[in-house]
Amino acid sequence: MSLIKFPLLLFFLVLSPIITTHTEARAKTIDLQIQPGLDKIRPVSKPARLTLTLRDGAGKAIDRTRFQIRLYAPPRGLFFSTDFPQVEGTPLIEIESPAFQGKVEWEYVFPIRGVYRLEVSAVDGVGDRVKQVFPLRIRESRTKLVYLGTFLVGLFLFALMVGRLFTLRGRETHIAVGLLWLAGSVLSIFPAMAQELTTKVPGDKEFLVRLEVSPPTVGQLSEIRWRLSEKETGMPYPTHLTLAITQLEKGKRIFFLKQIPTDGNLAFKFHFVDGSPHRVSSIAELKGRNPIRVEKVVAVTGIEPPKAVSLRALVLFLGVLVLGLITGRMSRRWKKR
Amino acid sequence: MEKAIDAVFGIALPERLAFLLKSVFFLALTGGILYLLLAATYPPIHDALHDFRHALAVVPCH
Repeated sequence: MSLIKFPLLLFFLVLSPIITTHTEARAKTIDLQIQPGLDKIRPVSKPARLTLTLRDGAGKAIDRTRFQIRLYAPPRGLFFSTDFPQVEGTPLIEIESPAFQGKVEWEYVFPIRGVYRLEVSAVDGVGDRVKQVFPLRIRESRTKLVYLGTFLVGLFLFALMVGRLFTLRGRETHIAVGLLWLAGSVLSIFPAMAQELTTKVPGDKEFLVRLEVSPPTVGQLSEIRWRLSEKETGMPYPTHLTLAITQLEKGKRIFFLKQIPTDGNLAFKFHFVDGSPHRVSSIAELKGRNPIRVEKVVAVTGIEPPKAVSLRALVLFLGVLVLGLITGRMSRRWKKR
Repeated sequence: MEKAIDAVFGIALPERLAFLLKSVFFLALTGGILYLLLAATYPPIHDALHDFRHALAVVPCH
């Protein structure tokens, strides 16, 4: 072996274990699957099912994995806010969960449009940590866009009529004011929705279940703690847990964790984005016994949106009215010519 | 409106100015109604229009 080749061989022999380990670590990837596809998910619509799997280089799911999951809401837009401005840019879920059959699966109703940030950190059985960030773009509901478009067109046509009437002298002015009041009264007939539900009292002869929810406020994470323990010893009892959060006004399940393995404890943080009552329900599945179901209804404290944010939407509507007035006036003048 | 101004102040407004004044009055009134319907926090109004506010996609609600 020549004098030049020997140092090269030594170099590769020293570095090869480092390179191999690095490649193996890089080969492990976190796989995210979303059902239905991202392009079909809309805010406050049907829940999306998100599945996280840690896979090795061959694509095989790695069991005995522990996931740390953080979901952040989209940041505020340049001018217009969404209908939940307090939620924008805030953390929505913080949870640490072991994988069941190599994966963690949950259902979630995305509250607003925009690009969410899902940060996932997975640690496998040998202690290798893989981190990945997934941007998730959720488009606005088509129905809402149709409502907004219809409302804007309505405002425009209304202002156009008023603009035409104002362009004439005399008696037509009071007709315009009458139309204005008519529009106001039509808009105010939209009904309120309310629904009442009862809470079940937990109970089991040998086990004690505790479900605690720190008082939730819109704009902040709330801590949800669940614990299953043996009544006699007080020791936590390992079990599979199914947990659901339902918004009661519309009876919509907004979060669902199915059969995750626990050591008898689960604590995670969740952002209640709607200032209305919610039900948190848990089902502990015990081998050879009936499942234990516990429910808790919590009232979420709503926060009024900042006035500056509300005024931006009004600026849009007034802008459309101004446009309608000008168009109405111009159309009347064109007709005269 | 221009008739009322003419009767009270004895001023005959030019048509353009009359249109402008009426438009300002109209926008102020409409803006007030829209604020009441879409941004007011008064519970009966908020509760009645809660779903409508959310349906417009750009109107903030709690």
